[in-house]
Amino acid sequence: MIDPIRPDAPLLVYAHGFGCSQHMWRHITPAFEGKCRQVLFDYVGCGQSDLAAFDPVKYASLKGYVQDLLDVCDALGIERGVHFVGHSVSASIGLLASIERPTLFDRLILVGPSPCYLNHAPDYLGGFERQDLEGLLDLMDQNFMGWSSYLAPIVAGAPQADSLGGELSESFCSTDPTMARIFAQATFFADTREELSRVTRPSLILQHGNDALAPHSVGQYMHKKLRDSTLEVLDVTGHCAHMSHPHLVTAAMQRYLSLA
Amino acid sequence: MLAVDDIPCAMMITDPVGHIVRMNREFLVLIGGTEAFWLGHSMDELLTPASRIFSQTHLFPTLHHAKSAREVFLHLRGVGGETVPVMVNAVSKRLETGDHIVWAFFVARERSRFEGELIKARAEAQGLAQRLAASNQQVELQNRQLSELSLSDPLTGLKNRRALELIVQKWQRTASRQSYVSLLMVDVDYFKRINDAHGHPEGDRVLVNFARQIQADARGSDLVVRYGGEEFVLWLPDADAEAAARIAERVHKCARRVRSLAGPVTVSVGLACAVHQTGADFLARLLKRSDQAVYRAKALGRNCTVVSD
Repeated sequence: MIDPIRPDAPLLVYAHGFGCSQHMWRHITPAFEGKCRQVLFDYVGCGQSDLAAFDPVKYASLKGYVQDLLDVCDALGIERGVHFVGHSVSASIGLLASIERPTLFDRLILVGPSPCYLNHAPDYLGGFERQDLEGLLDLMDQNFMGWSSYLAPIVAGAPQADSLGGELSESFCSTDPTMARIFAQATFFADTREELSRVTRPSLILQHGNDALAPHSVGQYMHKKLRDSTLEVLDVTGHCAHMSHPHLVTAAMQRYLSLA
Repeated sequence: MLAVDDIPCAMMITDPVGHIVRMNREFLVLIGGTEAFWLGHSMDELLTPASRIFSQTHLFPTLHHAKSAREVFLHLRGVGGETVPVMVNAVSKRLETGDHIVWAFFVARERSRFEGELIKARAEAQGLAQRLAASNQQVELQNRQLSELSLSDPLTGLKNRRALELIVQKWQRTASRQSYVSLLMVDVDYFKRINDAHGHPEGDRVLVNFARQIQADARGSDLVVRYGGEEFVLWLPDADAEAAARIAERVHKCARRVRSLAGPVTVSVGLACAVHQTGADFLARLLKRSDQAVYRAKALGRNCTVVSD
Protein backbone atom coordinates (compact mmCIF):
# COMPACT_ATOMS: atom_id res chain seq x y z
CA MET A 1 0.00 0.00 0.00
CA ILE A 2 1.22 3.47 -0.74
CA ASP A 3 0.06 6.69 0.94
CA PRO A 4 -0.98 5.46 4.36
CA ILE A 5 -2.77 8.78 4.84
CA ARG A 6 -6.10 9.56 6.48
CA PRO A 7 -8.05 6.37 7.02
CA ASP A 8 -11.17 7.96 5.49
CA ALA A 9 -9.47 8.96 2.21
CA PRO A 10 -10.88 7.22 -0.89
CA LEU A 11 -9.41 3.78 -1.39
CA LEU A 12 -8.08 2.62 -4.76
CA VAL A 13 -7.18 -1.04 -5.29
CA TYR A 14 -5.31 -1.73 -8.54
CA ALA A 15 -5.16 -5.14 -10.20
CA HIS A 16 -2.77 -5.76 -13.08
CA GLY A 17 -3.61 -7.61 -16.28
CA PHE A 18 -2.28 -10.74 -17.89
CA GLY A 19 1.41 -10.64 -18.76
CA CYS A 20 2.40 -7.89 -16.35
CA SER A 21 2.74 -6.92 -12.74
CA GLN A 22 1.75 -4.04 -10.47
CA HIS A 23 4.54 -2.00 -12.08
CA MET A 24 2.15 -1.27 -14.92
CA TRP A 25 0.33 1.24 -12.69
CA ARG A 26 3.37 3.39 -11.96
CA HIS A 27 2.24 6.21 -14.29
CA ILE A 28 -1.24 6.28 -12.74
CA THR A 29 -0.63 6.24 -8.99
CA PRO A 30 1.28 9.58 -8.75
CA ALA A 31 -1.90 11.45 -9.78
CA PHE A 32 -3.68 10.21 -6.64
CA GLU A 33 -0.89 10.55 -4.13
CA GLY A 34 -1.93 12.49 -1.07
CA LYS A 35 -5.61 12.25 -2.02
CA CYS A 36 -6.27 8.52 -1.92
CA ARG A 37 -5.13 5.41 -0.17
CA GLN A 38 -3.77 3.16 -2.93
CA VAL A 39 -3.26 -0.60 -2.84
CA LEU A 40 -1.13 -2.46 -5.39
CA PHE A 41 -0.42 -6.16 -5.53
CA ASP A 42 0.84 -8.96 -7.79
CA TYR A 43 -1.24 -12.08 -8.33
CA VAL A 44 0.48 -15.25 -7.19
CA GLY A 45 2.65 -16.40 -10.09
CA CYS A 46 3.26 -12.84 -11.33
CA GLY A 47 5.74 -10.07 -10.55
CA GLN A 48 7.40 -10.35 -7.17
CA SER A 49 4.79 -12.70 -5.67
CA ASP A 50 5.75 -15.77 -3.67
CA LEU A 51 6.00 -18.34 -6.45
CA ALA A 52 5.99 -21.16 -3.93
CA ALA A 53 2.35 -20.28 -3.21
CA PHE A 54 1.36 -21.07 -6.80
CA ASP A 55 -1.17 -23.89 -7.05
CA PRO A 56 -1.73 -24.98 -10.67
CA VAL A 57 -5.25 -26.15 -9.92
CA LYS A 58 -6.34 -23.05 -8.00
CA TYR A 59 -4.96 -20.66 -10.60
CA ALA A 60 -6.30 -22.56 -13.61
CA SER A 61 -9.50 -20.54 -13.37
CA LEU A 62 -10.25 -16.92 -12.58
CA LYS A 63 -11.61 -17.99 -9.19
CA GLY A 64 -8.07 -18.40 -7.90
CA TYR A 65 -7.24 -14.81 -8.82
CA VAL A 66 -10.54 -13.56 -7.36
CA GLN A 67 -9.44 -15.18 -4.12
CA ASP A 68 -6.07 -13.38 -4.32
CA LEU A 69 -7.87 -10.04 -4.61
CA LEU A 70 -10.15 -10.82 -1.65
CA ASP A 71 -7.17 -12.13 0.35
CA VAL A 72 -5.29 -8.87 -0.22
CA CYS A 73 -8.28 -6.86 1.06
CA ASP A 74 -8.68 -9.17 4.04
CA ALA A 75 -4.99 -8.96 4.90
CA LEU A 76 -5.23 -5.15 4.94
CA GLY A 77 -8.43 -5.20 6.98
CA ILE A 78 -10.42 -3.60 4.15
CA GLU A 79 -14.13 -4.28 4.48
CA ARG A 80 -15.79 -1.66 2.27
CA GLY A 81 -15.29 1.34 0.05
CA VAL A 82 -12.98 -0.21 -2.53
CA HIS A 83 -12.68 1.73 -5.77
CA PHE A 84 -11.38 -1.09 -7.89
CA VAL A 85 -9.17 -0.43 -10.92
CA GLY A 86 -8.55 -3.51 -13.04
CA HIS A 87 -6.83 -3.88 -16.38
CA SER A 88 -7.88 -6.42 -18.98
CA VAL A 89 -8.50 -9.81 -17.32
CA SER A 90 -8.48 -8.11 -13.93
CA ALA A 91 -11.65 -6.31 -14.93
CA SER A 92 -13.36 -9.71 -14.99
CA ILE A 93 -11.63 -10.70 -11.75
CA GLY A 94 -12.88 -7.51 -10.05
CA LEU A 95 -16.42 -8.03 -11.32
CA LEU A 96 -16.47 -11.63 -10.08
CA ALA A 97 -15.11 -10.50 -6.70
CA SER A 98 -17.85 -7.85 -6.49
CA ILE A 99 -20.49 -10.53 -7.05
CA GLU A 100 -18.96 -12.63 -4.30
CA ARG A 101 -18.64 -9.73 -1.87
CA PRO A 102 -20.68 -6.72 -3.02
CA THR A 103 -20.25 -4.90 0.30
CA LEU A 104 -16.50 -4.67 -0.24
CA PHE A 105 -16.75 -2.57 -3.40
CA ASP A 106 -17.88 0.99 -3.95
CA ARG A 107 -17.42 1.05 -7.71
CA LEU A 108 -15.24 -0.49 -10.40
CA ILE A 109 -13.08 1.01 -13.13
CA LEU A 110 -12.42 -1.45 -15.93
CA VAL A 111 -9.55 -0.69 -18.31
CA GLY A 112 -9.77 -2.63 -21.59
CA PRO A 113 -12.12 -5.35 -20.30
CA SER A 114 -13.50 -8.33 -22.15
CA PRO A 115 -15.83 -10.96 -20.67
CA CYS A 116 -14.86 -13.48 -23.35
CA TYR A 117 -12.16 -13.45 -26.01
CA LEU A 118 -13.73 -16.20 -28.09
CA ASN A 119 -16.22 -15.50 -30.82
CA HIS A 120 -19.66 -16.97 -30.27
CA ALA A 121 -21.25 -16.03 -33.57
CA PRO A 122 -23.67 -14.58 -34.30
CA ASP A 123 -24.56 -13.11 -30.88
CA TYR A 124 -21.14 -12.29 -29.54
CA LEU A 125 -17.84 -11.35 -31.12
CA GLY A 126 -14.94 -11.67 -28.71
CA GLY A 127 -12.43 -11.15 -31.49
CA PHE A 128 -10.72 -14.55 -31.62
CA GLU A 129 -11.19 -18.13 -32.72
CA ARG A 130 -10.09 -21.06 -30.60
CA GLN A 131 -7.04 -21.80 -32.77
CA ASP A 132 -5.89 -18.18 -32.38
CA LEU A 133 -5.85 -18.55 -28.61
CA GLU A 134 -4.15 -21.92 -28.77
CA GLY A 135 -1.59 -20.30 -31.08
CA LEU A 136 -0.92 -17.78 -28.32
CA LEU A 137 0.00 -20.56 -25.89
CA ASP A 138 2.42 -22.01 -28.47
CA LEU A 139 3.90 -18.57 -28.98
CA MET A 140 4.41 -18.20 -25.23
CA ASP A 141 6.19 -21.55 -25.17
CA GLN A 142 8.54 -20.42 -27.92
CA ASN A 143 9.23 -17.09 -26.27
CA PHE A 144 9.82 -18.34 -22.75
CA MET A 145 11.74 -21.54 -23.46
CA GLY A 146 14.84 -20.63 -21.54
CA TRP A 147 13.31 -18.39 -18.95
CA SER A 148 13.16 -20.59 -15.89
CA SER A 149 16.88 -20.77 -15.30
CA TYR A 150 17.46 -17.26 -16.54
CA LEU A 151 15.06 -15.92 -13.93
CA ALA A 152 16.45 -17.86 -11.01
CA PRO A 153 18.48 -15.04 -9.42
CA ILE A 154 15.57 -12.64 -9.66
CA VAL A 155 13.17 -15.04 -8.08
CA ALA A 156 15.61 -15.95 -5.35
CA GLY A 157 16.83 -12.50 -4.42
CA ALA A 158 13.80 -10.40 -5.35
CA PRO A 159 16.03 -7.37 -5.99
CA GLN A 160 14.78 -3.87 -6.76
CA ALA A 161 13.77 -3.19 -10.32
CA ASP A 162 16.50 -0.66 -11.00
CA SER A 163 19.43 -2.68 -9.73
CA LEU A 164 19.08 -5.13 -12.58
CA GLY A 165 18.39 -2.59 -15.27
CA GLY A 166 17.63 -4.13 -18.59
CA GLU A 167 17.55 -7.70 -17.36
CA LEU A 168 14.60 -7.25 -15.08
CA SER A 169 12.88 -5.24 -17.77
CA GLU A 170 12.84 -8.36 -19.88
CA SER A 171 11.21 -10.25 -17.07
CA PHE A 172 8.78 -7.45 -16.32
CA CYS A 173 6.06 -9.05 -18.38
CA SER A 174 6.23 -12.53 -17.03
CA THR A 175 7.78 -14.60 -14.31
CA ASP A 176 7.68 -18.34 -14.51
CA PRO A 177 6.71 -19.63 -17.98
CA THR A 178 4.59 -22.46 -16.58
CA MET A 179 2.64 -20.10 -14.35
CA ALA A 180 2.32 -17.53 -17.13
CA ARG A 181 0.91 -20.25 -19.36
CA ILE A 182 -1.67 -21.23 -16.76
CA PHE A 183 -2.62 -17.57 -16.28
CA ALA A 184 -2.92 -17.23 -20.08
CA GLN A 185 -5.23 -20.20 -20.24
CA ALA A 186 -7.37 -18.91 -17.38
CA THR A 187 -7.48 -15.46 -19.00
CA PHE A 188 -8.16 -16.19 -22.62
CA PHE A 189 -10.50 -19.14 -22.25
CA ALA A 190 -12.59 -17.49 -19.53
CA ASP A 191 -16.20 -16.68 -20.28
CA THR A 192 -17.86 -14.43 -17.71
CA ARG A 193 -20.68 -13.15 -19.92
CA GLU A 194 -23.33 -14.88 -17.82
CA GLU A 195 -22.02 -13.26 -14.64
CA LEU A 196 -22.23 -9.66 -15.89
CA SER A 197 -25.91 -9.32 -15.09
CA ARG A 198 -25.25 -10.38 -11.49
CA VAL A 199 -22.96 -7.41 -10.84
CA THR A 200 -24.66 -4.86 -8.61
CA ARG A 201 -21.91 -2.26 -8.16
CA PRO A 202 -21.57 0.64 -10.61
CA SER A 203 -18.73 0.55 -13.09
CA LEU A 204 -16.80 2.64 -15.60
CA ILE A 205 -15.77 0.81 -18.76
CA LEU A 206 -12.70 2.46 -20.26
CA GLN A 207 -12.36 1.03 -23.73
CA HIS A 208 -9.48 1.64 -26.09
CA GLY A 209 -10.58 3.18 -29.38
CA ASN A 210 -8.52 0.68 -31.33
CA ASP A 211 -7.71 -2.41 -29.30
CA ALA A 212 -6.50 -5.61 -30.96
CA LEU A 213 -7.79 -7.57 -27.97
CA ALA A 214 -11.25 -6.12 -27.52
CA PRO A 215 -13.34 -4.92 -30.45
CA HIS A 216 -15.85 -2.06 -30.00
CA SER A 217 -18.71 -4.51 -29.81
CA VAL A 218 -17.23 -5.96 -26.61
CA GLY A 219 -17.42 -2.62 -24.80
CA GLN A 220 -21.00 -2.10 -25.95
CA TYR A 221 -21.92 -5.63 -24.89
CA MET A 222 -20.54 -5.05 -21.39
CA HIS A 223 -22.22 -1.66 -21.13
CA LYS A 224 -25.55 -3.26 -21.99
CA LYS A 225 -25.17 -6.12 -19.50
CA LEU A 226 -23.63 -4.23 -16.58
CA ARG A 227 -26.17 -2.38 -14.46
CA ASP A 228 -25.14 1.23 -13.66
CA SER A 229 -22.24 1.16 -16.09
CA THR A 230 -20.70 4.06 -17.99
CA LEU A 231 -18.87 3.41 -21.26
CA GLU A 232 -16.05 5.73 -22.20
CA VAL A 233 -13.99 5.12 -25.32
CA LEU A 234 -10.47 6.51 -25.08
CA ASP A 235 -8.83 7.72 -28.27
CA VAL A 236 -6.04 5.21 -27.86
CA THR A 237 -4.57 2.51 -30.08
CA GLY A 238 -3.34 -0.51 -28.15
CA HIS A 239 -4.37 -2.37 -25.02
CA CYS A 240 -2.52 -0.55 -22.25
CA ALA A 241 -3.81 3.03 -22.11
CA HIS A 242 -2.68 3.32 -18.48
CA MET A 243 0.89 2.84 -19.73
CA SER A 244 0.80 4.58 -23.10
CA HIS A 245 -1.68 7.37 -22.26
CA PRO A 246 -1.75 7.60 -18.46
CA HIS A 247 -3.07 11.17 -18.47
CA LEU A 248 -6.24 10.06 -20.31
CA VAL A 249 -6.81 7.28 -17.83
CA THR A 250 -6.20 9.38 -14.70
CA ALA A 251 -8.48 12.13 -16.07
CA ALA A 252 -11.27 9.60 -16.68
CA MET A 253 -10.77 8.11 -13.22
CA GLN A 254 -10.86 11.54 -11.54
CA ARG A 255 -14.04 12.47 -13.40
CA TYR A 256 -15.73 9.22 -12.51
CA LEU A 257 -14.68 9.31 -8.87
CA SER A 258 -15.31 13.10 -8.64
CA LEU A 259 -11.78 13.63 -7.39
CA ALA A 260 -10.66 16.33 -9.84
CA MET B 1 25.76 6.43 -46.74
CA LEU B 2 23.89 3.17 -46.18
CA ALA B 3 20.15 3.36 -46.88
CA VAL B 4 17.64 1.30 -44.89
CA ASP B 5 16.54 -0.32 -48.13
CA ASP B 6 20.02 -1.85 -48.47
CA ILE B 7 20.00 -3.51 -45.06
CA PRO B 8 19.44 -7.29 -45.39
CA CYS B 9 16.82 -7.38 -42.68
CA ALA B 10 13.17 -6.32 -42.52
CA MET B 11 12.92 -2.94 -40.79
CA MET B 12 10.08 -0.70 -39.81
CA ILE B 13 9.43 2.51 -37.91
CA THR B 14 6.15 3.05 -36.09
CA ASP B 15 4.72 5.65 -33.74
CA PRO B 16 4.71 4.67 -30.02
CA VAL B 17 1.47 2.69 -30.35
CA GLY B 18 2.39 0.87 -33.54
CA HIS B 19 1.10 2.94 -36.47
CA ILE B 20 3.39 2.33 -39.44
CA VAL B 21 5.54 5.32 -40.43
CA ARG B 22 8.29 3.71 -42.52
CA MET B 23 9.11 0.27 -43.93
CA ASN B 24 12.13 -0.93 -45.88
CA ARG B 25 12.15 -2.94 -49.09
CA GLU B 26 13.09 -6.19 -47.35
CA PHE B 27 9.95 -5.90 -45.20
CA LEU B 28 7.71 -5.42 -48.22
CA VAL B 29 9.18 -8.58 -49.76
CA LEU B 30 7.87 -10.47 -46.72
CA ILE B 31 4.40 -9.00 -46.40
CA GLY B 32 3.68 -7.76 -49.93
CA GLY B 33 2.15 -4.43 -50.97
CA THR B 34 3.77 -1.04 -51.13
CA GLU B 35 5.03 1.25 -48.41
CA ALA B 36 2.40 3.81 -49.37
CA PHE B 37 -0.33 1.23 -48.84
CA TRP B 38 0.82 0.34 -45.30
CA LEU B 39 1.52 3.84 -44.02
CA GLY B 40 -0.78 4.77 -41.13
CA HIS B 41 -1.99 1.20 -40.65
CA SER B 42 -1.54 -0.48 -37.29
CA MET B 43 1.24 -3.05 -37.19
CA ASP B 44 -1.35 -5.39 -35.63
CA GLU B 45 -2.49 -5.98 -39.19
CA LEU B 46 0.88 -7.53 -40.00
CA LEU B 47 0.53 -10.12 -37.23
CA THR B 48 -1.41 -13.33 -36.79
CA PRO B 49 -4.17 -13.08 -34.13
CA ALA B 50 -2.06 -14.96 -31.56
CA SER B 51 0.91 -12.68 -32.22
CA ARG B 52 -1.34 -9.65 -31.89
CA ILE B 53 -2.27 -10.72 -28.36
CA PHE B 54 1.34 -11.45 -27.49
CA SER B 55 2.41 -8.12 -28.90
CA GLN B 56 -0.22 -6.20 -26.91
CA THR B 57 0.25 -8.09 -23.64
CA HIS B 58 4.04 -8.51 -23.68
CA LEU B 59 5.84 -6.56 -26.37
CA PHE B 60 4.26 -3.12 -25.97
CA PRO B 61 4.25 -3.22 -22.14
CA THR B 62 7.94 -4.17 -22.29
CA LEU B 63 8.64 -1.30 -24.67
CA HIS B 64 6.79 1.15 -22.41
CA HIS B 65 8.62 -0.11 -19.41
CA ALA B 66 12.15 -0.74 -20.68
CA LYS B 67 12.25 1.19 -23.97
CA SER B 68 13.51 -1.89 -25.78
CA ALA B 69 12.62 -5.51 -26.40
CA ARG B 70 14.94 -8.19 -27.72
CA GLU B 71 14.47 -11.56 -29.38
CA VAL B 72 10.72 -11.66 -29.23
CA PHE B 73 9.31 -14.48 -31.33
CA LEU B 74 6.24 -13.62 -33.41
CA HIS B 75 4.35 -14.73 -36.49
CA LEU B 76 3.86 -12.31 -39.38
CA ARG B 77 1.15 -12.65 -41.95
CA GLY B 78 3.22 -12.99 -45.10
CA VAL B 79 2.39 -12.61 -48.77
CA GLY B 80 -0.56 -14.79 -49.73
CA GLY B 81 -1.56 -15.51 -46.11
CA GLU B 82 1.58 -17.54 -45.35
CA THR B 83 2.70 -17.46 -41.70
CA VAL B 84 6.27 -16.17 -41.34
CA PRO B 85 8.05 -16.86 -38.03
CA VAL B 86 10.24 -13.91 -37.06
CA MET B 87 12.53 -12.81 -34.24
CA VAL B 88 11.89 -9.19 -33.39
CA ASN B 89 14.07 -6.53 -31.82
CA ALA B 90 12.56 -3.14 -31.08
CA VAL B 91 13.67 0.09 -29.42
CA SER B 92 11.83 3.26 -28.48
CA LYS B 93 13.65 6.18 -30.06
CA ARG B 94 13.21 9.93 -30.23
CA LEU B 95 13.59 10.89 -33.90
CA GLU B 96 13.35 14.43 -35.35
CA THR B 97 9.61 13.93 -35.81
CA GLY B 98 8.94 12.76 -32.22
CA ASP B 99 8.84 9.49 -30.30
CA HIS B 100 8.97 6.34 -32.41
CA ILE B 101 9.69 2.65 -32.25
CA VAL B 102 12.33 1.18 -34.55
CA TRP B 103 11.78 -2.46 -35.41
CA ALA B 104 13.99 -5.14 -36.90
CA PHE B 105 12.53 -8.49 -38.00
CA PHE B 106 14.66 -11.56 -38.71
CA VAL B 107 12.98 -14.41 -40.52
CA ALA B 108 13.46 -17.52 -38.39
CA ARG B 109 11.86 -20.36 -40.32
CA GLU B 110 14.59 -22.90 -39.56
CA ARG B 111 15.00 -21.78 -35.96
CA SER B 112 11.26 -21.86 -35.45
CA ARG B 113 10.96 -25.37 -36.84
CA PHE B 114 13.88 -26.48 -34.69
CA GLU B 115 12.44 -24.89 -31.54
CA GLY B 116 9.05 -26.32 -32.29
CA GLU B 117 10.67 -29.77 -32.41
CA LEU B 118 12.49 -29.05 -29.14
CA ILE B 119 9.32 -27.99 -27.37
CA LYS B 120 7.55 -31.06 -28.69
CA ALA B 121 10.44 -33.27 -27.57
CA ARG B 122 10.41 -31.63 -24.15
CA ALA B 123 6.67 -32.21 -23.81
CA GLU B 124 7.16 -35.83 -24.86
CA ALA B 125 10.01 -36.27 -22.38
CA GLN B 126 7.86 -34.78 -19.63
CA GLY B 127 5.01 -37.11 -20.56
CA LEU B 128 7.39 -40.04 -20.58
CA ALA B 129 8.85 -39.08 -17.20
CA GLN B 130 5.34 -38.83 -15.80
CA ARG B 131 4.37 -42.24 -17.13
CA LEU B 132 7.64 -43.66 -15.82
CA ALA B 133 7.02 -42.20 -12.38
CA ALA B 134 3.48 -43.59 -12.41
CA SER B 135 4.63 -47.07 -13.40
CA ASN B 136 7.42 -46.96 -10.80
CA GLN B 137 4.80 -46.20 -8.22
CA GLN B 138 2.78 -49.15 -9.47
CA VAL B 139 5.79 -51.45 -9.25
CA GLU B 140 6.56 -50.23 -5.75
CA LEU B 141 3.00 -50.91 -4.66
CA GLN B 142 3.08 -54.38 -6.17
CA ASN B 143 6.42 -55.06 -4.47
CA ARG B 144 4.94 -54.06 -1.15
CA GLN B 145 1.92 -56.28 -1.74
CA LEU B 146 4.20 -59.10 -2.83
CA SER B 147 6.45 -58.86 0.19
CA GLU B 148 3.39 -58.61 2.40
CA LEU B 149 2.14 -61.82 0.79
CA SER B 150 5.48 -63.57 1.09
CA LEU B 151 5.58 -62.80 4.81
CA SER B 152 2.05 -63.96 5.56
CA ASP B 153 0.35 -67.26 6.07
CA PRO B 154 -2.51 -67.44 3.58
CA LEU B 155 -4.87 -69.50 5.79
CA THR B 156 -4.75 -67.55 9.04
CA GLY B 157 -3.36 -64.20 7.85
CA LEU B 158 -0.71 -64.43 10.59
CA LYS B 159 2.93 -63.77 9.79
CA ASN B 160 5.00 -66.75 8.67
CA ARG B 161 8.42 -68.21 9.52
CA ARG B 162 10.19 -65.86 7.14
CA ALA B 163 8.67 -62.84 8.86
CA LEU B 164 9.81 -64.26 12.20
CA GLU B 165 13.37 -64.56 10.92
CA LEU B 166 13.36 -60.97 9.68
CA ILE B 167 11.90 -59.59 12.90
CA VAL B 168 14.38 -61.49 15.01
CA GLN B 169 17.33 -60.30 12.92
CA LYS B 170 16.10 -56.76 13.26
CA TRP B 171 15.71 -57.17 17.02
CA GLN B 172 19.24 -58.57 17.25
CA ARG B 173 20.54 -55.53 15.38
CA THR B 174 18.62 -52.87 17.27
CA ALA B 175 17.76 -54.05 20.80
CA SER B 176 20.06 -53.20 23.69
CA ARG B 177 22.31 -55.88 25.18
CA GLN B 178 20.34 -56.11 28.41
CA SER B 179 17.09 -56.81 26.55
CA TYR B 180 15.09 -59.93 27.26
CA VAL B 181 13.01 -61.84 24.83
CA SER B 182 10.71 -64.81 25.22
CA LEU B 183 9.43 -67.20 22.63
CA LEU B 184 6.32 -69.33 23.01
CA MET B 185 5.91 -72.43 20.87
CA VAL B 186 2.23 -73.35 20.84
CA ASP B 187 0.94 -76.67 19.56
CA VAL B 188 -2.77 -77.51 19.26
CA ASP B 189 -3.48 -80.73 21.16
CA TYR B 190 -4.87 -83.71 19.30
CA PHE B 191 -5.23 -81.69 16.11
CA LYS B 192 -4.96 -84.81 13.95
CA ARG B 193 -8.09 -86.16 15.62
CA ILE B 194 -10.10 -83.06 14.69
CA ASN B 195 -9.01 -83.47 11.08
CA ASP B 196 -9.69 -87.20 10.99
CA ALA B 197 -13.08 -87.03 12.71
CA HIS B 198 -14.53 -83.88 11.13
CA GLY B 199 -12.50 -83.26 7.99
CA HIS B 200 -9.87 -80.70 7.02
CA PRO B 201 -12.33 -77.78 6.73
CA GLU B 202 -13.14 -78.12 10.43
CA GLY B 203 -9.41 -78.33 11.23
CA ASP B 204 -8.81 -75.18 9.23
CA ARG B 205 -11.67 -73.43 11.01
CA VAL B 206 -10.12 -74.25 14.40
CA LEU B 207 -6.73 -72.92 13.28
CA VAL B 208 -8.25 -69.73 11.90
CA ASN B 209 -10.31 -69.08 15.02
CA PHE B 210 -7.43 -69.74 17.35
CA ALA B 211 -5.14 -67.54 15.26
CA ARG B 212 -7.70 -64.73 15.43
CA GLN B 213 -7.91 -65.07 19.24
CA ILE B 214 -4.18 -64.95 19.91
CA GLN B 215 -3.61 -62.18 17.38
CA ALA B 216 -6.31 -60.07 19.02
CA ASP B 217 -4.79 -60.73 22.43
CA ALA B 218 -1.19 -59.90 21.44
CA ARG B 219 0.63 -56.69 22.46
CA GLY B 220 1.66 -54.32 19.71
CA SER B 221 5.29 -55.36 19.99
CA ASP B 222 4.53 -59.08 19.89
CA LEU B 223 4.73 -61.09 16.69
CA VAL B 224 2.29 -63.95 16.20
CA VAL B 225 3.40 -66.52 13.67
CA ARG B 226 1.93 -69.64 12.17
CA TYR B 227 5.03 -71.77 12.32
CA GLY B 228 3.84 -75.03 10.83
CA GLY B 229 0.64 -77.10 10.48
CA GLU B 230 -0.86 -76.67 13.96
CA GLU B 231 2.17 -74.95 15.47
CA PHE B 232 2.23 -71.26 16.36
CA VAL B 233 5.05 -69.08 17.68
CA LEU B 234 4.73 -65.92 19.74
CA TRP B 235 7.78 -63.66 19.72
CA LEU B 236 7.63 -61.51 22.86
CA PRO B 237 10.28 -58.79 23.08
CA ASP B 238 11.07 -57.44 26.57
CA ALA B 239 9.13 -60.27 28.24
CA ASP B 240 11.06 -62.18 30.92
CA ALA B 241 10.05 -65.73 31.85
CA GLU B 242 7.48 -64.51 34.35
CA ALA B 243 5.78 -62.13 31.92
CA ALA B 244 5.91 -64.76 29.19
CA ALA B 245 4.28 -67.30 31.51
CA ARG B 246 1.39 -64.90 32.05
CA ILE B 247 1.03 -64.52 28.29
CA ALA B 248 1.10 -68.33 27.95
CA GLU B 249 -1.82 -68.48 30.37
CA ARG B 250 -3.76 -66.16 28.14
CA VAL B 251 -2.94 -68.36 25.15
CA HIS B 252 -4.53 -71.29 26.94
CA LYS B 253 -7.59 -69.14 27.54
CA CYS B 254 -7.71 -68.23 23.86
CA ALA B 255 -7.73 -71.91 22.98
CA ARG B 256 -10.61 -72.55 25.37
CA ARG B 257 -12.67 -69.90 23.61
CA VAL B 258 -12.39 -71.73 20.26
CA ARG B 259 -15.49 -73.82 19.54
CA SER B 260 -14.97 -77.08 17.69
CA LEU B 261 -17.18 -79.99 16.65
CA ALA B 262 -14.53 -82.16 18.29
CA GLY B 263 -15.11 -80.59 21.70
CA PRO B 264 -12.86 -78.30 23.77
CA VAL B 265 -9.64 -77.16 22.13
CA THR B 266 -6.44 -77.11 24.22
CA VAL B 267 -2.83 -76.31 23.47
CA SER B 268 0.58 -77.27 24.82
CA VAL B 269 3.05 -74.44 25.21
CA GLY B 270 6.84 -74.42 25.41
CA LEU B 271 8.41 -71.26 26.77
CA ALA B 272 12.02 -70.22 26.22
CA CYS B 273 13.49 -66.98 27.49
CA ALA B 274 16.85 -65.44 26.54
CA VAL B 275 18.99 -62.34 26.91
CA HIS B 276 20.00 -60.45 23.79
CA GLN B 277 22.63 -62.17 21.63
CA THR B 278 23.93 -61.42 18.16
CA GLY B 279 24.73 -64.90 16.85
CA ALA B 280 23.19 -66.23 13.64
CA ASP B 281 21.86 -69.33 15.43
CA PHE B 282 20.10 -67.31 18.16
CA LEU B 283 16.62 -67.97 16.82
CA ALA B 284 17.35 -71.60 15.99
CA ARG B 285 18.51 -72.29 19.56
CA LEU B 286 15.51 -70.50 21.03
CA LEU B 287 13.16 -72.50 18.78
CA LYS B 288 14.89 -75.72 19.72
CA ARG B 289 14.56 -75.01 23.46
CA SER B 290 10.90 -74.08 23.20
CA ASP B 291 10.22 -77.09 21.00
CA GLN B 292 11.73 -79.40 23.62
CA ALA B 293 9.59 -77.69 26.25
CA VAL B 294 6.47 -78.38 24.16
CA TYR B 295 7.52 -82.00 23.94
CA ARG B 296 7.73 -82.15 27.73
CA ALA B 297 4.33 -80.41 28.06
CA LYS B 298 2.82 -83.09 25.82
CA ALA B 299 4.45 -85.75 27.96
CA LEU B 300 2.97 -84.11 31.06
CA GLY B 301 -0.52 -84.65 29.68
CA ARG B 302 -0.92 -81.62 27.38
CA ASN B 303 -2.94 -78.40 28.02
CA CYS B 304 -0.08 -76.89 30.02
CA THR B 305 3.02 -74.72 29.71
CA VAL B 306 6.57 -75.92 30.29
CA VAL B 307 9.36 -73.40 30.76
CA SER B 308 12.69 -74.31 29.19
CA ASP B 309 15.72 -74.17 31.52
